[in-house]
Amino acid sequence: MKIHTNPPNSADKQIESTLSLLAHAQPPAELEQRIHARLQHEPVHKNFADGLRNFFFTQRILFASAAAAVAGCAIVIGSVQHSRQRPFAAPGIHIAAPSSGLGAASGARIAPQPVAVPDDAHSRSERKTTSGRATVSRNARKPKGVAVPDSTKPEKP
Amino acid sequence: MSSLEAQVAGWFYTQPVLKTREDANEIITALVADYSTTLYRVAYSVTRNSAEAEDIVQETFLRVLRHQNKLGEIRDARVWLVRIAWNLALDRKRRSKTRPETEDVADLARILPSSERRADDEVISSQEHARVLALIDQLPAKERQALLLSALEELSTAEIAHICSTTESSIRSRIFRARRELAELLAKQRDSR
Repeated sequence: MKIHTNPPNSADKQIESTLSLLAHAQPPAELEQRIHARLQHEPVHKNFADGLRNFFFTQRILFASAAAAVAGCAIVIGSVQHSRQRPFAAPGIHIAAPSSGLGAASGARIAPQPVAVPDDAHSRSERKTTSGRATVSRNARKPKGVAVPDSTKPEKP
Repeated sequence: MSSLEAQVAGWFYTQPVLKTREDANEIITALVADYSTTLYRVAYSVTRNSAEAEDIVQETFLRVLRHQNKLGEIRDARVWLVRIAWNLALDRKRRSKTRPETEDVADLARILPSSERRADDEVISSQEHARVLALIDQLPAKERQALLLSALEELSTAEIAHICSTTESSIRSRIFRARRELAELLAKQRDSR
């Protein structure tokens, strides 16, 4: 079993003592004089980059306003130019310009080739309604194996 | 002042310009007189080397001289200077990691006037100081910074919080954690011996 030779709070005392040692460190004699001497020997030269940076920093409101104005103008001019831009026309295809020029839905869409009609084409509606009731023609196309009940004749009132 | 007004005031704020170079020199002279000792202690707490600490203090004031046009907009010179000195000391410490340690804490303990030492200090040897300092170096950076700066009587908790860019309560908890961890490390070290 290890026996502690120090009292229980000796760690705190040690920490306090060491921190107080650092806190009371005394600077060497004539530190201030040496600092002044070094500061006097330091050439204070303002280079071009520093001057430029300072100039832009002090006039920042002016430059920010100018930049905002330029950006606004660029946006307006760009949008106007874009709206006046003629659409690209591929050779052989004539695309009619939209009448209003505002919405994409108003633009005419022309298929690039004629659409061929399939051989087995039939009208969309084989169902005909007579006097309000839906009837299925006997000749209506229907898949094999599907039973279709005979349509009843409408009752006469 | 509402936050909007404060923001607008901030936009239109232009830094006060020091009229002449003599103005700046006067301010720097006053700063050297007021804060050189504090800065030395800050630098010494990191480097633990007298020559390096002095060099850091000089470098701190050189930075002030180079940025003398900003002197007018500094609200708390002490906080600003300590922050510069702390960063310079950390840089120096980082660079000197490869070099052998040149700590002269033993010299400090020997030459420190007895009036400035606590009664307990007499019984704590310089070896023990060195051991505690080595353990302080093992602490996390934030806790170490808070602990070392809190040792300086010149700095209040609010100023330390400002230097560390955090809140006072955070600083207090960092100091508490640092002390607790340090005590645990010391106890562990003592047990292992």
